[in-house]
Amino acid sequence: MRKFIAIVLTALIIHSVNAKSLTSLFIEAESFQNKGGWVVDQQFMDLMGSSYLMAHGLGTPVSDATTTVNFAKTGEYTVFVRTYNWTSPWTTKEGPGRFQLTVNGRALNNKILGTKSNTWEWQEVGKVKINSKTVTIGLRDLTGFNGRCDAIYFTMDNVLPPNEPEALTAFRKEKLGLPEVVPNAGKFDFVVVGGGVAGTAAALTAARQGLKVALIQDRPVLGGNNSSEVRVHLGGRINLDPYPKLGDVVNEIAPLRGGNAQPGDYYEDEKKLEMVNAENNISLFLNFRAFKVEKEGTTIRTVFAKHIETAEELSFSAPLFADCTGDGTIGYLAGADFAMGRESKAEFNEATAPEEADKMTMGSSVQWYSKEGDKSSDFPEFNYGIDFNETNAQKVTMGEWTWETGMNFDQISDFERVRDYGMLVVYSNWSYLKNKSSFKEEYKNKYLDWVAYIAGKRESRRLIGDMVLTEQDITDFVIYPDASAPTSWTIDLHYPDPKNTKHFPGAEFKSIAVHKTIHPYPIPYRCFYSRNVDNLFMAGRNISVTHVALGTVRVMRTTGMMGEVVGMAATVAAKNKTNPRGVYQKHLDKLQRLMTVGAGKYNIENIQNYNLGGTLGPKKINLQIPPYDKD
Amino acid sequence: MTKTKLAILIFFSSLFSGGYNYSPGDSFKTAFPSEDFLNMKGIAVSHVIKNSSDSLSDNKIVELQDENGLTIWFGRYFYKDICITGICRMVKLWIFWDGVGNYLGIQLDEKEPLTKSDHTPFEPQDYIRLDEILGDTVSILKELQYEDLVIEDGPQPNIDDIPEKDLFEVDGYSSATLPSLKEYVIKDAVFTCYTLWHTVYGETKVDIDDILKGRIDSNYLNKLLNGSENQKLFALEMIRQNSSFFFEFNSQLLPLIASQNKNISEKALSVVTPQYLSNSENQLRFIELMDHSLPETKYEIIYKLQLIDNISTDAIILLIDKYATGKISAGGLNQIFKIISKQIVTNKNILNNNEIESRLVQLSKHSDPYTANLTKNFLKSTR
Repeated sequence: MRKFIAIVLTALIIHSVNAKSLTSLFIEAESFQNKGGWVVDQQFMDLMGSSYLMAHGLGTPVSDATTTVNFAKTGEYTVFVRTYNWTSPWTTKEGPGRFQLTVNGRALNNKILGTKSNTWEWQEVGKVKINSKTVTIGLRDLTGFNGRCDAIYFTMDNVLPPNEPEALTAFRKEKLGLPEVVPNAGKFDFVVVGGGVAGTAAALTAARQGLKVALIQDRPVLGGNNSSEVRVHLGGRINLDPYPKLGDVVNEIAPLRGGNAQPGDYYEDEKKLEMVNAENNISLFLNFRAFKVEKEGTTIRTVFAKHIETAEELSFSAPLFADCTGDGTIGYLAGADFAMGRESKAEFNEATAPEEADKMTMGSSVQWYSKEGDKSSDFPEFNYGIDFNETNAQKVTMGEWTWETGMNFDQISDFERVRDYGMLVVYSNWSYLKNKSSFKEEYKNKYLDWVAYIAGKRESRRLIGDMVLTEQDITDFVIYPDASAPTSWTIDLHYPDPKNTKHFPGAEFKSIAVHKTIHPYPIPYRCFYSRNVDNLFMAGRNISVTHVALGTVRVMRTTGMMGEVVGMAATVAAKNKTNPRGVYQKHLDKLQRLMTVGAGKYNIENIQNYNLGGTLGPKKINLQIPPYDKD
Repeated sequence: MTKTKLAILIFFSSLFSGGYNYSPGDSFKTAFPSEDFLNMKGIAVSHVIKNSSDSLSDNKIVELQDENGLTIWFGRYFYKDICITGICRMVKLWIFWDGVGNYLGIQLDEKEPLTKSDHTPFEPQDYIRLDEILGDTVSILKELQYEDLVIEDGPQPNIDDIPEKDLFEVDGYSSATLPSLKEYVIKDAVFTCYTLWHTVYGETKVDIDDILKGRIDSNYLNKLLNGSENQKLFALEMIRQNSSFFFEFNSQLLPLIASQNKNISEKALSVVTPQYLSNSENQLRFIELMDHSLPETKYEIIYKLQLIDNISTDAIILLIDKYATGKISAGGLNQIFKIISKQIVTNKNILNNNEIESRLVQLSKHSDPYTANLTKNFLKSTR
């Protein structure tokens, strides 16, 4: 990995903290030098304009976040903070995410923030006299219940910053002094956006074949749903026919131990990171989130990404891009055709599809677990609109994939609400167990040890490729000439748990899975590139499949192998100066050769024996693959 | 076993000419799997169960032992009416468990085949399915009540009354659904499947376990450890439950960790105690097992060491050498560093040990950049 990145980032941080004009000072909360116990949440920056700081203390106030800023002028300022009450969708009560703004360690006007408003907005904190040009600003959490702050604005002009999204974006850019011309991040053959298992595997594979790759990931760690931030274990099988070498790269980055919602160590973030760092051909851009593309005709020329802490922007130009964002963000921004929700039975004649198309998707999981302490511990009363009682309380000590929310909401435009509901039910249920239940004695010593704040999303946009994989392609075992990465997991579709529906109709937070077992099936390569954006690959859950077919392909050993295929196809495209479709039309034999040889490097034993999933077992694949040798 | 047992040693051939109306040999043709259990050679022992609440027709567990006193099988003769809505069918058969109490098979008289609710006899494939069902230790039948078994044309139970884990399938693991019960059991023989499954895993199984546990001593464990896979596993479980045996048998146990049989290897690992691993010599012995173990066992050895508070410098050196010589693959280096990190918390001088330091410096210059970078970052994080 190139070393210049760290130098660039340091410069950016200094720049953002000092963003000021003569009579005002704008501070992005996420750019604070010392985050204390607050976390940076970037998941909704496309919705509300920025990443933000959040006091994720599981009911215990977190330590202050602080930063030192320089004012151009001393004097009296009016102060605004952008925040809101995150529980407002479910209650009219004042919210639980209470916090204060501090100036040189003192709470400003003792004003409690985070309790009001049902949408992100600027709220006045009051006036403050700034006597010294160098001041320490802080956020003081009062509850540990996810108070959140986007930005802080000091102004002598007493002008409220804009709330309207576009105006606010322009305001941020101006106040932060970001350059009009976005700096270019370097020269690349292939830009992979999204550093989950699919994107990481795509970048590693392409880099090992000689491409100069940029890998852009909007978190500080790689792995996505399989990182220590989300903690979903890998699923599915690797090293299957017709290309048994596919999966070798996945095996190299794969955690050795399985289990959902296990201690963070299990997910081996450092292994994924160092596998990427070991490739000189990869430039890794952690903490950058893509937010804009520029096209020429139907070809993407540039992707723009913003740092999730400093808001600084970089541009990435290349002949080829891969959308491994999960949400199909790059495709969406580029105008790629996409689907979302369930197709009707009539559309593809799928046995499992509903009669009528609808917007239902699988949900997102906020996983959590508790631990047994040596002594009794308290948990605050927490009731913000979802009532728990003896009949509906979940008498459990952890929640893994079945704690799934938002199936009837938009997994992109409603995603903050979807994630927040996941946290709300965890806290509400836990509060009931600890404080009111008839079995609270059993919970006396138990305490919440981990609750995810990065939600594990299963489904949103599916970008449409030259082929859309359907249920019957898989169940009828229709083998196409461009057969590639195998999917082996069951067709595993999630629905609201009927028991949960009974107690929480329309507000379910538990799910059930319905499985249809399959023979391992090689996905056609044509599902891995956009049909109307010429140079866009995709790997991960945003590939070209129906909702039903997504049920099997979405597990992460499988998405990782998609990444390997896309990395190989990008190599073929780059070397033959063509695009993804050109690989299918004219160079499929070259892709087959690479898939036969594989992209493994370290000869690591395959001990990926956990969470393989049920299967009907291998079925003979009739496919003409030339007998390639490794050379 | 709370009931009084009476063990009688008798010769095999005389056992079945007694009160069962069967004689060994021609009568018993139908056995699943295909073993003819009742004609096996050995020494028969009968255990009389008193005060049995299991309404079986016979109150004895019969045991067949080999010449070393190890159990070949336990058997119980079962004859009972299985009744549905007042209509009863007599079921007669032997059920067998192996020498450590696992389900082994069934055997019955060809003249008295099992029949279904429509009075047709079981087909050969029905017996095979029954054998599979009885071998399924986590069968969906386990949590069901007799009343739940009306799966066609009857009222469905209240959804709240069904255990959640039986309600639907979950990622990666199959559990039960009521609709799937009829796919699982033998058609028209639901009650037979249910009754026999609960017999295999019911009171008799508990009694067999008690008989076996009552025999546990050094001599018996020694025999078991030299026995079949299941006997080894059973012995290991007994030792795990009573760690005082561990020190007596550790020289026999440790090689089992390097077994190519994953079940034995896993079970043997579970027996190793933290006390044993707190000794530096034992740590070296334990690490050396990696050379011949299954790949996944190597990592289990590392995970076990990650839990130990005092890993010796010699053990750390040996682990690094295992990595450097390829005995541990690239996927394990970060796990070795986790062991070292834990030790540094209590012993900051570990990295000042010349032998450890020189090895780590070498790794940080490794030709493979993954190894080099990971080591460099590790060294940086410790300073």
